[in-house]
Amino acid sequence: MSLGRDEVLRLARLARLHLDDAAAQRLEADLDRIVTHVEKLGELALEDVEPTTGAVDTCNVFRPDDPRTGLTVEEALANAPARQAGAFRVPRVV
Amino acid sequence: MEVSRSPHGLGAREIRDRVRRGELKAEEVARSLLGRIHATEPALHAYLYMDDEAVLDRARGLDLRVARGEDPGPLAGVPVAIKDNLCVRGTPTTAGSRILSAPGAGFRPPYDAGVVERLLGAGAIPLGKTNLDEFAMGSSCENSAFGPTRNPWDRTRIPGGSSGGSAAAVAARSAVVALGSDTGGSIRQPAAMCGVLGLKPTYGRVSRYGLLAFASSLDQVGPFARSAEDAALVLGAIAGHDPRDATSADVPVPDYLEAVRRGVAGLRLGVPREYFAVSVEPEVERAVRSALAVLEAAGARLQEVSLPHTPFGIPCYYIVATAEASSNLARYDGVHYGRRTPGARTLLDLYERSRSEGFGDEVKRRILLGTYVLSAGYYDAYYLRALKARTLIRRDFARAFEEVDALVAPTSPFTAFRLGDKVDDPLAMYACDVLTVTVNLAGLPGLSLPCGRDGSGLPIGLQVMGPPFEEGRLLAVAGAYQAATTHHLEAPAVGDTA
Repeated sequence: MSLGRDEVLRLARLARLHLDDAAAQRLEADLDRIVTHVEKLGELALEDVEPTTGAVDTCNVFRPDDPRTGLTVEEALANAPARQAGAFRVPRVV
Repeated sequence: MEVSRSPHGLGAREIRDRVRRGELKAEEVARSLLGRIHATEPALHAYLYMDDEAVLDRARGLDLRVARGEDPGPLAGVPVAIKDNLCVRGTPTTAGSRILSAPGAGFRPPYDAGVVERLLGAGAIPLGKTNLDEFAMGSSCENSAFGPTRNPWDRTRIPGGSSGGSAAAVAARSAVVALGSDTGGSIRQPAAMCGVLGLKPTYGRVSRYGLLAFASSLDQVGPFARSAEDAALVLGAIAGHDPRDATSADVPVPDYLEAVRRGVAGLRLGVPREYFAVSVEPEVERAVRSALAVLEAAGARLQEVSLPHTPFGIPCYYIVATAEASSNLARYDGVHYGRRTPGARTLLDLYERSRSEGFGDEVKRRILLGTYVLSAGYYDAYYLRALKARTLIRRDFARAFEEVDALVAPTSPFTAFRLGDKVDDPLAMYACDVLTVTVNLAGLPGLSLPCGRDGSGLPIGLQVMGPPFEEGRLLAVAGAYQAATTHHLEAPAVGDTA
């Protein structure tokens, strides 16, 4: 299985990663080998098997809809690399 | 060599009993551990963060409570090392990644993880944060952005991973017990490599609140200890329902200490033949088989069983885990916390540059693989197929547990390898987890305990696996084995010239 350079760069864009040429070449080779390896699952007959998404069968766990205190604005912003006026600061978007 | 009886060599049970009775000061224990850490760290690099004064302050506060006649709890005065992917309020938490450790802007969580809260409530003394593969992705600790931890038995070798720092610290007596996390073997494999006991609880047994998420359907927090009794003590303190983790199970927590002394008479132990069919080193197989004979002599009944889908564990795991990781790690964006690359002109540029600088190679590899198996056109061929294979792996275990009470096998096919041996070969590194990932995929409890050493003196791990919420049964097996043997008392010679 070969993903090809364009596919690796497309995945990187989707994953918000920038790869230089050397990194892209290395990762392309690694991913080719790993994808080939995981294709071993193709040996299994899986048509009639239900998928397992989690290790426990609980679903729709609710808690009472009571108001609770969360982090303060100050606590929530304490780790922000840049902040302004009680908000996370980012480069201009519009 | 024989470890002196200074407090750093004591077990958690003895420390808490003596601290509770006022015979031993928590401060004296803390000082002994800090001294031991300073003596061993130059050789090991098990810790990423320490704050001696904070440790001593907490210990002194605890001594005051004892002096006032209070009982500080079941872990009174017990020093605990904490893997650095668990949040401790106000303490740098890096997950072994540059993305959370920008100079002057490292991430300091505004809250404690559920397990940390419980440890503190039980009277434990957190010693520091331990080294790990970046975001717990790795089997050797070499993927830490801050350099690897070394194996206390041989410093040219890896301590296992990803919880390598916690395992090495407990082995070297620079922690009495420790917390780790296990997504595909990250507690059990380093426990095996370092010659300590490591327990990965049933999925949902222990809260994941405040654990930096890697693969949310697989991650689980658990203890490292030298004795089954100490592991039981820590598990008892951290287990239980936490409404802040929706997957945490509302199942009563039994008396694990009692379970350790239960014995194995009449217990049916299954020996899965597939776990010996992968290329297990002869010395590992020999040590595991002789451990099984010890358990048989203690009254257990051995029986061969089959888990036919074992060979599909690694392919299944590396699809499921990377898919979940690619989603979980989207949160590291250079905006909310951690590293931001300066000079970006657009938001997209900010994301891409911060993430590319912040993440190491293995993390990028897994994010890209996870993105691939989830992307349009490949989802059915990879991700859906892996979820179905996961069902088959789960069924294998369910069938086996109709015949036997627990399963026993090697934890790792080999003992600790040399630093650098596998670091350039991702598939060789992934293969380290061949005997551990299936337990995570099935959500079961698994434990590794030392059962001897190979010709080079490197520890070998015996793995015990059980049905959901049967941690007590695993601890009973470990307790019976340790009552009959002395492997868990052996200590590596490290830092002893200091």
